[in-house]
Amino acid sequence: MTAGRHRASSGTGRGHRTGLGLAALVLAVLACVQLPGTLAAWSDGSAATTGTLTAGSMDLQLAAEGGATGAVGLGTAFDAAAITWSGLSPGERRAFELTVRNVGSPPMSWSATARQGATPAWTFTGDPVTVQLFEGTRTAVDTTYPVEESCTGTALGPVRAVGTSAAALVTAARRVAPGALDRVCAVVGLATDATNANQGKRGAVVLDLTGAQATS
Amino acid sequence: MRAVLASGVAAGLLALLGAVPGTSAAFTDETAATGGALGAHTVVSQAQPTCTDVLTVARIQWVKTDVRYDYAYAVRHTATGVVVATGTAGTATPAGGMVTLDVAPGLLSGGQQYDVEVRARLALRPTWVAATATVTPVRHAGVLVVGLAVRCGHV
Repeated sequence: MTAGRHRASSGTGRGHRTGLGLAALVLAVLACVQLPGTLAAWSDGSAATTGTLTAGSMDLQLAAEGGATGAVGLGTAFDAAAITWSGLSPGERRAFELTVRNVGSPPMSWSATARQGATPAWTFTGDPVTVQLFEGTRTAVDTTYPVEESCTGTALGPVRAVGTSAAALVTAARRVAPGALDRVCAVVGLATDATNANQGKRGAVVLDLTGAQATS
Repeated sequence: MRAVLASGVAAGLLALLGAVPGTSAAFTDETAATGGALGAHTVVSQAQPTCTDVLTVARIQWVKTDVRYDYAYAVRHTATGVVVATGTAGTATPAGGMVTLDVAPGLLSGGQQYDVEVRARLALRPTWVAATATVTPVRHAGVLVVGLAVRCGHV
């Protein structure tokens, strides 16, 4: 009984080894054939949707003394009709207060130039009208001849003759934080050497202000 | 494979971005602030002066219309056009006040006729003058009782 069990047992082990050998052979053949394997893998994708992204805006607002507040919106013109005088003679000048406010979101640096306006038509001979920008406000209203108004602060740039091309009024761009304002004062006059041919002549001045995002 | 490629591309972009300098673009806003009319003064001539004989002088008078003005005068020999005297009048006269110019016989030649030309100008910028001048005729004459005198008008 014991020997028989041994034999029977012995015969069963050989068959198993044979099966294993065949399987190994198949695998070896398959390996030799080099069937391409797939690169498939489990994966998971996720779309992370942010909230609304809104670009900031650069926007300056102007206010002229005794005049309207405006210029809000990109490229919006401003009616600075308050900057006016009549009957000025050579050497006389008037000061006009302006407020430049940053109503955009980033910090702003602004600068300004002056040029001749279109209306009324420029009839002055040469460039006898001058403009200079200052910090601060007008010192006082001057009603006696010669009218020589001035401003409280320091000059932002040199005196500029108003010509057909833009003349820079600000030497170093002015930085204004969002929501803050910059009070400036424009002195507009008639040059002391304005010739006699300028009697009764007219014109208008355009101040071009550019507010740029302060990047540093 | 695609995942590997995507990773590679992403890595390449990151490396590229690291090498590219930042842009200097910035938001801007430009505004044209147009001022109102600027008008220069016009020097206005005085009205035609009055002329009155007062003792030995011809008294010429007119109203000063603007505090900024004074008046340049010239006495011109009518026949030759030669200017024999010049001067300024009305410097201290207030606006609305009467400017008086007495033409005396001292600089004038006897028996001759003259024109007194008066032109308004800016006192501080005398190159700015009125476009027109007034002319008042006078004459140098011998007058009974007072002797040599300047009288208003020509003969």
